[in-house]
Amino acid sequence: MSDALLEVTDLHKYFGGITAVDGFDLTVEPNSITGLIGPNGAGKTTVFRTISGFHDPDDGTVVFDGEDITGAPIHDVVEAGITRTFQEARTFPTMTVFENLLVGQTGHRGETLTAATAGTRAYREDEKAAIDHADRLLEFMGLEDARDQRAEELAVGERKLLEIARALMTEPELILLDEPMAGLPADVTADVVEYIERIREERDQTFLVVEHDMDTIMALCDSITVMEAGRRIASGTPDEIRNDETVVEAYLGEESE
Amino acid sequence: MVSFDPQFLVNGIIVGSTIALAAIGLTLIFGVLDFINFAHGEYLTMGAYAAFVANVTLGLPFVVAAVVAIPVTVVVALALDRVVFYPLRRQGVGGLALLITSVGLSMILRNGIEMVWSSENLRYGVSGAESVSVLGVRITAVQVAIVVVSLVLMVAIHLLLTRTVLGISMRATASNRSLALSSGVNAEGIVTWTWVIGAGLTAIAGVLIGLNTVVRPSMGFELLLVMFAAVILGGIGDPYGAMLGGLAIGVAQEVSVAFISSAYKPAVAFTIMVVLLLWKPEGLRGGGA
Repeated sequence: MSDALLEVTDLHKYFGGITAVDGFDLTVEPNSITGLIGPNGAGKTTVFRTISGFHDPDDGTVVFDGEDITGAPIHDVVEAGITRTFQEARTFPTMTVFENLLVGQTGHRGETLTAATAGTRAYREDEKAAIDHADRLLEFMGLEDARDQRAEELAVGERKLLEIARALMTEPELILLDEPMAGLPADVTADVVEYIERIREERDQTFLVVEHDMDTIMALCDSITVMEAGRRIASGTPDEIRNDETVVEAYLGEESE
Repeated sequence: MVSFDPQFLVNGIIVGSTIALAAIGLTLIFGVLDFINFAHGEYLTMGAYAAFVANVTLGLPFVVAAVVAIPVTVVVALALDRVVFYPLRRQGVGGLALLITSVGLSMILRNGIEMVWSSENLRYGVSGAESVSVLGVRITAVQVAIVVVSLVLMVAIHLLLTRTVLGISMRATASNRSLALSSGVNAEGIVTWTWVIGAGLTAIAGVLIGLNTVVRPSMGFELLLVMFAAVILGGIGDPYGAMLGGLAIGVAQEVSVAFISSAYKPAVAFTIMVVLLLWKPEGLRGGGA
């Protein structure tokens, strides 16, 4: 287990008197698609937000690729190689598809005005690399025809693909997908599943997915961690989870009620 | 019926282009920092006084003094951010508390300037006030320079916002902060550059306005509401809207002088703003930043 990509240990997070996460453990193996499921209010979103730097944990550690990133600011977490997507296909609506991707490049260089305007050779090379990278990703995601359209003009499925492309632009090792299928029509869901699997195969990416659609989770993930009341109650392969009595009681039972 | 004199239109373009510059600064800071900075007018005043000190007190050539005003204003703006706004931001204080804080800061700065330089009208040591007549419109060399400098800076801002990763990151941060953060944008780095660019543009606007009229402690504050009108007219947080809004307000104000007393200039700006808000609340250009 020591070669896990992400190792979350004994994570705690409180909001006022509410315990959102209560000693949670999670392991994500490299190149896996790991699912995180649990009933509403189990703390999945808080775990996501804490891993990606939006919350400071009250206790516990987050170790990524051997590096302790517990409580690191968001841009440092991205720099370390973790990025996330949001539930509702978030984009920069009035910016073009191409510009949306370039935002993902900012961690590298270009946040200084001198580099951006003085036309230094290093900047021009970086800029060219960024443009090439963005164009390759657009092609990979089948968005090349939409390159100069404003993001708000895209259909919801394309916006989801754009969001994933923007995430890939930060050159992550681990992508956190927060309910990627929420609000997507059924035919688009199949597309997105296909892209996630392709990205894992061809780009050697690792995914951690929170999703309510159990069919998608069972089909997509090779490992699943189940959360209830801020703790891990089970983890294993989809088959193991399906047949785990604690899980059936805590979660799947709730679904059938 | 008064026959329309194109002189008013030209005056409007001169005034409007300076308002536009200052309004870009205000709207960028609003977009990225998510609060309305009431002290923005005083940043304009500071720019004008920094150039006055360099030009008249220290005897530097005016163009040099105008350039010196930029870093001086930027450094003060960054220092004020560090001392006043940054600690509040870190505590997660909302936009309303920051707004009230900036009202206080505005008063402190305005009164501080008045204590040092008194409230008298000051002028730069510049010649070029002789007007030439072109097609019946009187215009001075200084006024031509004001419009040219403003337009060049607006084009430069456009290139910055669309052609550089910094500009794209600024627009992204204004559009959706958490998504920008998750894309690896260093928000505090962007905040710093937003102050640099916003305060720098505002300082130049102050110098140009001082050049076109006079330098006095209340000059920025008097323009603050007009700048707000320009920003709202263009759609809050939208730099292109601010350019358009600034020009539109400037032209409307000056052209109104042909029909009603010039004492009603600010009322004209606000009438336009209110009518537009009722008709098209998202601003002239639709959408956001």
